[in-house]
Amino acid sequence: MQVFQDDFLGEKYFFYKHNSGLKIYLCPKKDFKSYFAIIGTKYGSINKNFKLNSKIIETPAGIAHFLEHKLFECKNGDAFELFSKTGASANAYTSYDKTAYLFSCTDNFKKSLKILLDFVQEPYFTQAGVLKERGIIEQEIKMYSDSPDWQVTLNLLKSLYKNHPIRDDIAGSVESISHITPELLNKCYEAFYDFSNMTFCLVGNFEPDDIIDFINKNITKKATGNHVEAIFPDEPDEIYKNSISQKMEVATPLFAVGFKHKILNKRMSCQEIIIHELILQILLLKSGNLYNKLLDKNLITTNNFDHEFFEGPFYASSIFSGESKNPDEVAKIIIDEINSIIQKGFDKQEFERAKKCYYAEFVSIFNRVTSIGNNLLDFDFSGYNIFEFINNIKNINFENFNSKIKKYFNVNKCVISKIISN
Amino acid sequence: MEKIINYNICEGVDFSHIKIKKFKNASIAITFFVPLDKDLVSGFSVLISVLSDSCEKFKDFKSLNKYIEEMYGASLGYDIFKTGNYQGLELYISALDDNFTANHDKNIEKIADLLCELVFRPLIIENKFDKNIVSKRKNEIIELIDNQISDKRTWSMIRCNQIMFENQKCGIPKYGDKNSVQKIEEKNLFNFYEKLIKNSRIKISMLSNSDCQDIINKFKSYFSKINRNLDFNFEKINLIKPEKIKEVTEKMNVEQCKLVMSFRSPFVRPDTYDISLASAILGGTPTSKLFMNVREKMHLCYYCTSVFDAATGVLYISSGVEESNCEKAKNEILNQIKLMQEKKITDEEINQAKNFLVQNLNSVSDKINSLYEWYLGQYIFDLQESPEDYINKILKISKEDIVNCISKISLDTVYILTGGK
Repeated sequence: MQVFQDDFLGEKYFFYKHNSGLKIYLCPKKDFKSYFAIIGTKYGSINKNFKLNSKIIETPAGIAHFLEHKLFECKNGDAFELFSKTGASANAYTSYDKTAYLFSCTDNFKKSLKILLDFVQEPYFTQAGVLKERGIIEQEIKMYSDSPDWQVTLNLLKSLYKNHPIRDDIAGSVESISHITPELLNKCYEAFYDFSNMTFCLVGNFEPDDIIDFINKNITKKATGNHVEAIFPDEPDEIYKNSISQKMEVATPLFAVGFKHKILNKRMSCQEIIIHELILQILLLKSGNLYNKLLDKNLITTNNFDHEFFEGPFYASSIFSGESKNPDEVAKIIIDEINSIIQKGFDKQEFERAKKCYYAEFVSIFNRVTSIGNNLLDFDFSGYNIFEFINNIKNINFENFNSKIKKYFNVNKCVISKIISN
Repeated sequence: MEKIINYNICEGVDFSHIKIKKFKNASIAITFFVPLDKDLVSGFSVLISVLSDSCEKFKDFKSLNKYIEEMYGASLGYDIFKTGNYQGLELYISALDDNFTANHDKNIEKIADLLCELVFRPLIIENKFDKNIVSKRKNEIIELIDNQISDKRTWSMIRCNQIMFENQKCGIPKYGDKNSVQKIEEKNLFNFYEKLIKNSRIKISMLSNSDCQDIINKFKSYFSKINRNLDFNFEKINLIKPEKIKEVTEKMNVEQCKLVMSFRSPFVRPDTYDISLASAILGGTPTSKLFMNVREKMHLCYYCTSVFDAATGVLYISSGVEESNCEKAKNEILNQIKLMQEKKITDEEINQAKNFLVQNLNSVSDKINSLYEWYLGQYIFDLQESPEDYINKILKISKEDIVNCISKISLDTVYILTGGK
């Protein structure tokens, strides 16, 4: 078992690779009553097409999410029902590039852990179960159709990317999920739920050795030796279209302004992520030029302007979003500000302040067992170590940073997505 | 384990320190409570937003935020909420605890000082707030009012609440209304400020690992210069019963119909243990009666949940369904309540819901927000109860208690938001 620790933060975690291929992260927190466990697979909505042992398999949009719903169904009932007996709060989610199953609890933690480990090892997909779930997921899709926040981002991604499956809604569509069968679900399970593709994280008051023993006893599924390879269509560096607009019942229009970054054939390095994030942090400093210009012109309020750096396999973009009476003017001001920084460079004091804010965000992860667990999983899937990442933020220097905006931001690869009122 | 230190600063002003070691952040908040009044609610909303904008020491938003960012991106914000017949107005600042800043900066003292600057030394010249700031913050509150419509699930809950409590104090919208916001001026906002500082109930909550005496002294000193005149006590709500069930359907461009049903009950805090458990059994967990029947058995929805508001004694049930299934969902919800009233509740259902609630209560001390909300709730309802005390009460509840309390709820309002296709 490897130990990683940060003395300044007073935090440590253990890493162990199980012989099934499962990667295990254990973060003991003696002064917390809560436990949080999460197991995830690198399988999200973008993995529609893949090669399983050299054979190409194509599946409908939304199948990873459908599988997530159905994995809760077990031969002897439903995993939710089993969790109810232990009192744990269980849940699951599917994102663009992963699916995760989780629970939090304060009592009966090992009983809940066994339920989690069992149901991810024992799929039970039936025709009746698939038909039943269709109705429920259709309502979930319709619920998101009524969400302007969700639609503005979805439309943005549809316009930033031409071929990448990130253009599809995570849950698919009412039409696409009608093609899902138990056979297809089994095929996807076989491909992506091999433990060599999965990571488990646990946070709470426990002894790491004891947990490893417990996991050894409860993992019965052997590594299959299957070789799965995600297939992505070629994606141009150019955007698909520069503007998209949809009408919905909203009072103030919603906007998302996205900049597409160069398509790389590997995930970004830790340094590159930090630089992209810091650029956004500086641009959105509440004391900064951009924020105050938008506020002074009454284009945003202090409650409704946000940013996200959105990176995964074969996609990376920087997104500014919010609500504004005039989204086009907001986009213009953002582009002007980026152009101005490309020419003049960043202000060093702003850089230092943004660095402090960004550093504090990561330290705050350790306030909660859930955020520790979720981040250990995310960091593993991205290939970084969380302590190394935090130290890299502290150590990044202005001179190396300052020239990067020219390299990363191209204002011609900008899309504005809007939701306007009927 | 946290230690709670309570201190009375002066009449109607209380200070609580949640002394706890395990978090990386420290925070401080001041919450003002005023009776909901349709003529005042909008002004107070604008005021709390204005107070978060700047102060005498940091005269504009930019310089204030520069200072905050230097403090490792401390977050400063405001919140406006309703609890029963009262409006809550809060200013809060959270920052990294001193131990986790590079030079062990005294962040906690700094955030307490800053909160005092914002509250006691706002930017006021000749009894007037700054015109531009007031205008900017009026727009912000108007947008908050307007934008509630965006999230249709929340909006349908808000509409149900408005319809249920029409012409009653607790039905007054928490941010106020657009016309009243428009009427606020930099001069009359000063009157709101005076009223807030002098007449409201005030709770200051601090969460940190450090000592609080200096901070208590600071607040004492500021309040000693204010001529306090508290003119109300928190009172239990007394709801007006409608003559008949209100059924309202509104149309909007939505794909999915949102159904909200509200039920009145005679239970308000502290007498809410039984009904909270009943609500959990009915629709508070992924194995609740509503989840298992409306979603899993009948496949009518993705969500069908119940929540109980302990300040008003109202149980809300909300779901998203096809319009053609709306009546079916409504009937099944009523059927599940009827079954509970007819004692059709298994011991397993009771134990599972108890277990779920107990574990939620047990985890309160592991989350900064939950701890803070827990003790603010204690203050509002004038209780001295720990999560453990609550757990002990939950564990003692019998099936008869559950049947008894669920039998006392009655349907008040059915609100449907539909695309009307």
